[in-house]
Amino acid sequence: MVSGRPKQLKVLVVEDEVFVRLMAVDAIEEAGFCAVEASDADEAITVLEDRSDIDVVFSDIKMPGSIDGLALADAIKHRWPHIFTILTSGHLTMPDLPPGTTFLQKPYRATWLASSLNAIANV
Amino acid sequence: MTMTSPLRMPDQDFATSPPDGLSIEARRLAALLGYGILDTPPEQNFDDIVHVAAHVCATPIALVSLVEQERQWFKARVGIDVCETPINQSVCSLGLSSKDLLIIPDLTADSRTVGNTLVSGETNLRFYAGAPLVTPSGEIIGMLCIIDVAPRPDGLTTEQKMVLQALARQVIVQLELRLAVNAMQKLETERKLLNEEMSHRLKNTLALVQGMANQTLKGVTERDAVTAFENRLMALSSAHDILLQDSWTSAHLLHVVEGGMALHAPRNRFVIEGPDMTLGPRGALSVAMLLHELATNAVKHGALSVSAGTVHVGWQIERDDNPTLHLHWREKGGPSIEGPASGGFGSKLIAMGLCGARKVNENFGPLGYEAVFSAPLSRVQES
Repeated sequence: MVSGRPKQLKVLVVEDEVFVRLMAVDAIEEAGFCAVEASDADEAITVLEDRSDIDVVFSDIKMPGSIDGLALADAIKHRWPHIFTILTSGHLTMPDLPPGTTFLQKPYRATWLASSLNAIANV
Repeated sequence: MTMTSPLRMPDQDFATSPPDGLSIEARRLAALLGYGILDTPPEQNFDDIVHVAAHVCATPIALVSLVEQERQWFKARVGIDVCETPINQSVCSLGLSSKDLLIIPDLTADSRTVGNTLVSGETNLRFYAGAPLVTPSGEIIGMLCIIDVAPRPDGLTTEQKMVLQALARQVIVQLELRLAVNAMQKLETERKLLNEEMSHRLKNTLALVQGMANQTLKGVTERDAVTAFENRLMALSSAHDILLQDSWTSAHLLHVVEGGMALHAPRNRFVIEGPDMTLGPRGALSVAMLLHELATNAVKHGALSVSAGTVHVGWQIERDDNPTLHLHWREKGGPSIEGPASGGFGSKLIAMGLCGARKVNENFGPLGYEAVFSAPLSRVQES
């Protein structure tokens, strides 16, 4: 971004558990950003192939489907390097995150997600 | 132990083949490999054994020799530089078929060893005595041996023979101990993984409960109650993290207090004082949830609601017939507190005390809120 104004981020939420996904969507919208939903990593890839306006992918790690959140983060790093990735899981620590990825432990507060997004918007 | 003459022929003890179909040699090698000892670095426990053997038998050389198919490898050695030799230079391999001592008073006079290059060559080995290393299942995986460069027509004394055999048993004891330690470490690793997986699922469940509450209570206008619920859920989640550090068996009270307070205030706003002690899972969760309620109140109307206020959390154990844990909460530098804030759920949780013991002594006053919570030590440490 060239201007000092925070960017209006479009965030793709990838989460198989619907209640958790809707909570994330609320948190993103309350923080003033725009949310797009996917229920697993395969669907997320389809969304990313279809549209070019996604700035951030906020994804669970353990999900059904052909790839998990870590593999999704890897794919994004290679195919859409401009997209920021935030991963979340119930694990206490995530030692092997792809570089440039941030991590939120579940359960997370809406404010934690908002500050991660604000940090990206202000880059 | 059967009595045998010092000189004996190989293969005299095991005339029949083993019932499980594997050859004696295959079972022997499997037992040796099972110890995972080959090519490991020297260890004091084994070094001590060869030093004692060499000393007691007054020989320059003593070895713990483990005999593989193509070589013999020395786990411990004194008086010899190499850590292994090819099998054709092995005298120890001659002793693998009997559980008795193998004693060769003059290696140049024995048809089995006269051609050995360690006997005929520069090394000049002359006298050999070895005690077989017999595993609990009866496999012979090598020898504890002592070697001299001069022949010994009289062999070993009775005492020396007994010591050599006893030390050979100690080699096996050491090997078995290594196995047991490795097995325990493996179990511990598996237990840790299982705990982490359980914790992962628990966290996901908490996140699901949080999401359900979030969606279900969306239209609720009483937002304070919704926030209070989410805060309690986060306090519970944080307490689980602390319990996981010790695989859910116990938690240090200090860690529980530090972790619980960190959710509410920076470290310089509270003072923690108490002897090192552990809590059981139930006690740890109880302390964490109690501290959460107390800290929430302190942030709202107590010492943590003003910039100069601090909270002192301390504990002590009263040792008598039924040891008791006393947990103190003292607020300082905060506003004057008239009395209990409300009859809400938070107050009920505080009145429940530690592990539901209901032993709570609260003080309100101009100096700030103070409380002492007491519970039987056995209850807070219950596993």
